[in-house]
Amino acid sequence: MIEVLQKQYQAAQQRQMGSVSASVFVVLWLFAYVFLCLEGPTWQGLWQRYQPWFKHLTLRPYQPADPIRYAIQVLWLVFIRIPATHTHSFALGLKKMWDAVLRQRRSLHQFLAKGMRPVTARILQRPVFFNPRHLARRIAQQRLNRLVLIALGIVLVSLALLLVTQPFSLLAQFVFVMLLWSAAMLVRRVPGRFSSLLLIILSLTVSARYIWWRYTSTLNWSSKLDLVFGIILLVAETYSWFVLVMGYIQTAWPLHRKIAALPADRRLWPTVDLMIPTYNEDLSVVKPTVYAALGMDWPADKLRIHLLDDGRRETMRIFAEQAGIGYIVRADGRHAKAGNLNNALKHTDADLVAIFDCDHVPSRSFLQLTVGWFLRDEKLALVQTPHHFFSPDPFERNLGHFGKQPNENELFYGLIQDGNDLWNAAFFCGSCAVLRRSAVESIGGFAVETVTEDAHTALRLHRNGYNSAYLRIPMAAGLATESLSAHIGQRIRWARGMAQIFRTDNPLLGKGLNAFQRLCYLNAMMHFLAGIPRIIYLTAPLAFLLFHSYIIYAPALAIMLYVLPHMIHASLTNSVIQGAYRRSFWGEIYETVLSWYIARPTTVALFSPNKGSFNVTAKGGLIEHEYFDWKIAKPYVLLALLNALGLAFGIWRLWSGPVDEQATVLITMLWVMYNLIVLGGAVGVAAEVRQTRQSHRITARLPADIIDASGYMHSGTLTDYADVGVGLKLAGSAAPSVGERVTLVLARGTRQFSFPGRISRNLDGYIGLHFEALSKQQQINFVQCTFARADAWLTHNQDFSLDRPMQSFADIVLLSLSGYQHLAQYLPFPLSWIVERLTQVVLWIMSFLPRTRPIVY
Amino acid sequence: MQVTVCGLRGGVGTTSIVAMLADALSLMGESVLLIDLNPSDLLRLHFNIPYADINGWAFGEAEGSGWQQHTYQVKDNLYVLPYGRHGLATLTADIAMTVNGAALWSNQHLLAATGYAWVIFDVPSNTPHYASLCESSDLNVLVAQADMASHILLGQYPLAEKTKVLVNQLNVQQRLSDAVLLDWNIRYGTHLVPLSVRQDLHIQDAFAHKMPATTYFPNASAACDVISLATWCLVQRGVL
Repeated sequence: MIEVLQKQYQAAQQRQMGSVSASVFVVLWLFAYVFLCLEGPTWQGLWQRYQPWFKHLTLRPYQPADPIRYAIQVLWLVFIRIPATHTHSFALGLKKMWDAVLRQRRSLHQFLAKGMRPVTARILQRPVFFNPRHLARRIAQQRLNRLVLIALGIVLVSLALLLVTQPFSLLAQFVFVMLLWSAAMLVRRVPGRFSSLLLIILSLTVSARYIWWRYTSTLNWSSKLDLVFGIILLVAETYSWFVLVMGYIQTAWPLHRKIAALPADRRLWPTVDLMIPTYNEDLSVVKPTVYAALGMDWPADKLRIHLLDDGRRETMRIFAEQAGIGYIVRADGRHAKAGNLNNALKHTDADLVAIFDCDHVPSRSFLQLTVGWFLRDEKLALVQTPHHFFSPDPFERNLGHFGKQPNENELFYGLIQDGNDLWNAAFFCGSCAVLRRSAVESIGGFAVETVTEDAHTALRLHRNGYNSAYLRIPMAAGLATESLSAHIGQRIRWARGMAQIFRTDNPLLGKGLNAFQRLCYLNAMMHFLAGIPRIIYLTAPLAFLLFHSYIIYAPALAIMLYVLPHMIHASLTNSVIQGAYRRSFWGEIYETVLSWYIARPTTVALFSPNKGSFNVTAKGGLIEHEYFDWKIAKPYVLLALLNALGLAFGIWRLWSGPVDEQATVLITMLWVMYNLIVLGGAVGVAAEVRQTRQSHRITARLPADIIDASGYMHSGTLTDYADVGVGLKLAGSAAPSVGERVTLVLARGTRQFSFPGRISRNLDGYIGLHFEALSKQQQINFVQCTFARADAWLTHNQDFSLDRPMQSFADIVLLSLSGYQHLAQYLPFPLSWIVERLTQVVLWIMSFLPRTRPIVY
Repeated sequence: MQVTVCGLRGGVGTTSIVAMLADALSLMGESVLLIDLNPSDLLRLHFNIPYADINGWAFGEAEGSGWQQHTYQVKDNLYVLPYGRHGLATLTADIAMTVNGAALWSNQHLLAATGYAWVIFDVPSNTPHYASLCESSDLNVLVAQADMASHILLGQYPLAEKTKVLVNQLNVQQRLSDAVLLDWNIRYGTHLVPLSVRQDLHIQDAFAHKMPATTYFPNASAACDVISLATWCLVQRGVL
């Protein structure tokens, strides 16, 4: 018996308990042993069954508050988890009822899914009607239809107006929002377009009511201070409201355009000039792009590749000559990339122009998949494809989620462009696109007036009656910007360019565009004006907490009943529409990081559009030391400090303020805390993680073989590749030694290619191989066997999990805390200590939350 | 399914291919009978049937005891019928003349009666003897190397509808092989088996161990190629 106790004591000490707690533990264990019969089948069964919910506690050293954590976890299991799963008679009844609800919901889903199609099929028998754009045009053509449409529209609009403007008592409003919320919860998992359309309508209703209520009953006209702050906030909210509504219209019906087949007769295929503009990029960045272009599946006599070197570098000229491609330079560097392209247009003459930034490696199938649409539609001027990045962008690198969830770009290329395409408003994005030469020449070449020549060129094409198309298939991949400051620099340029277009060639004015094209362009530009509203949101609650100004002049309960439904519906709807392309709440972080920096340039560009020059986005660099980008983070640290101050004021007001104000103080404090969370995320991005590898490893799963020095050939799987080497997993037990010279064999179609190299590492059959002196032809072959495969980027999103808003919010909170911890390391002493302790306290409090999912590993 | 495998010329590795293909098919659960028509009688060595043992179908036929007694079961579903030793050392012209393999094996009823899913013949190259056998088979695999000699010989070869050219011992590091293969792709199109067996020392090693590489070195690249070839054969059965 003593031995057993000793063993328990030792085990306790091994889990780093002190002598006192270890003794207490042994005594408790003895008690439990006496009364619970720990080795019996009942207890063992229980332990086996519920152990996964305790692993977060059992797998780490003991901490003083662990008994409370165990207790909370047990309570959660007993009161929440077990009633939901256990076959207790009461629970059984509950479960039956819940199952019935689920069954009803399922049959509703089936009814909706089935009900939608026959109706559309009966009324609109031609498939052309499945596209709302064609439907609208069709209706507009017939007078009777038009009249019916107008009449219906008037009825709908007046009903909607009534619904939005009708003042409700608080109770009525409560019932109303609960009904809408229930409807949203009921349909949100229904597959297909119906659910997203209904969610949009619900969200629009709630949000329109909200903004109406804000304008009519929340401004305090009797106090000047309140009014000024209130109106500032209201303007920001109005902006966000417009962006929300326009975003819904833009993304409600993504087109999912299919590939148009090319004619079997190759003589009908058009000629193509493939242009690769470059300015100061390294040769190693340009090489893969050129090599991949050389292997493109297109008749050799119809494809001409040109390197457009604005840097006028001798090395580039020699490289182009050796690769056998055209080399075009010009005397001056006016109008940057647009000027470069315009100059190249003068020296070439093919029907189509394909443009790739010098770091975008195209896949072999690019032209075969994109050109078909040009033959089908004579007025088509542009086919754009997504920009995909095989290296992590600063967000992905610094926050460590590369390949696990969609990146910042994904929303635009996955959804927004696809939604634009429905309204014939897909933009040109400067790279990975094909344009019709005659169309571009008819508008006087690429637009040179602004720093975002791509969007402006597309706008002009649309104004002149040309069409555009968007194919949502990643067929080229490139390098993302390598540091946060470079990323922000790039976005500043875009923001400034969009603001310039807004001023000089406003899409709302002028001829040639239809209403939806105007709206899509407008929203793209509005998006970049988000800087100032965001800063307003980050500071608005301080107006109340610090200056005691009632920015939203309404009782706390009313605020809750209007604001919360508005926010909940917006995030629910966006989670359904955008979830696959952007995790809930991540947009807040992206926007916050940019807000401070785009606020000034966009404002300046709005007032004097001709200021500002083109800055080239730096790519392909290294970050040698981990560092904290103070320069970038400073405004956010300041804002965070202000919000923290606001929080302190809030506590003081709770303490000493009037009782009837406490609810308002609490709500405002919640707002401040949300701000702190978002700011923490923004600060976290500024902690630059080291990046020492010059060439990025791209994970893959491809068959590959190795021929060892003595002539034996081993089969295996390529696990990752880069331009200087690959990683492999050999199938058998063969283990080539480190340093051995081997030959890698890769296949492209039925052809096989070999690449000499040396084994650089060998860990449990995972070997690394470094190439040695590849010939030019071998380099071309390697790029074509890897980067330029037709399927190279198709599965980039296979590891993305479903968007779960609450989970996503928890991720954001953790991210924010780690951001503050990073920050603490770089702050001066007293502040660092305070921030460090505060984050620890928050993490400590969060550690008491029970696990809602078992840990299985 | 009756398959003949024949080399375009000697030394292209036909016997190894036959041994591995039969082994791969048997690994996939097919029942296979393998018949060696080469007097050199080397196929038996791929399955560890001793060379000192002189039994085989030709020996049985010449001796008068019949071929039926000479089948070796090397796996549950893999049977091998070696040529038998009146080969090499004891070979005399008259005995060879008395055995008419072509007449024997062209007898469809005989083969159907054996009940194997696959009957694979290792046919010697450069002999017109077995033309009728090839004709009555479902699939003729012509083994070649992607080199100039094969290129010339293949140009002369009358390719029947069901003759498929398989490239063996492909050296992936040679640009010439790549060029020859590209040319054959255009020239022979559907007659070309859409995969090649690559040059791999594992094959010779496995032979030294008297086992087909598909069993002895299952992860060798050439073995993987033959597994693919067996899959392709299974698909051909559906197509034909």
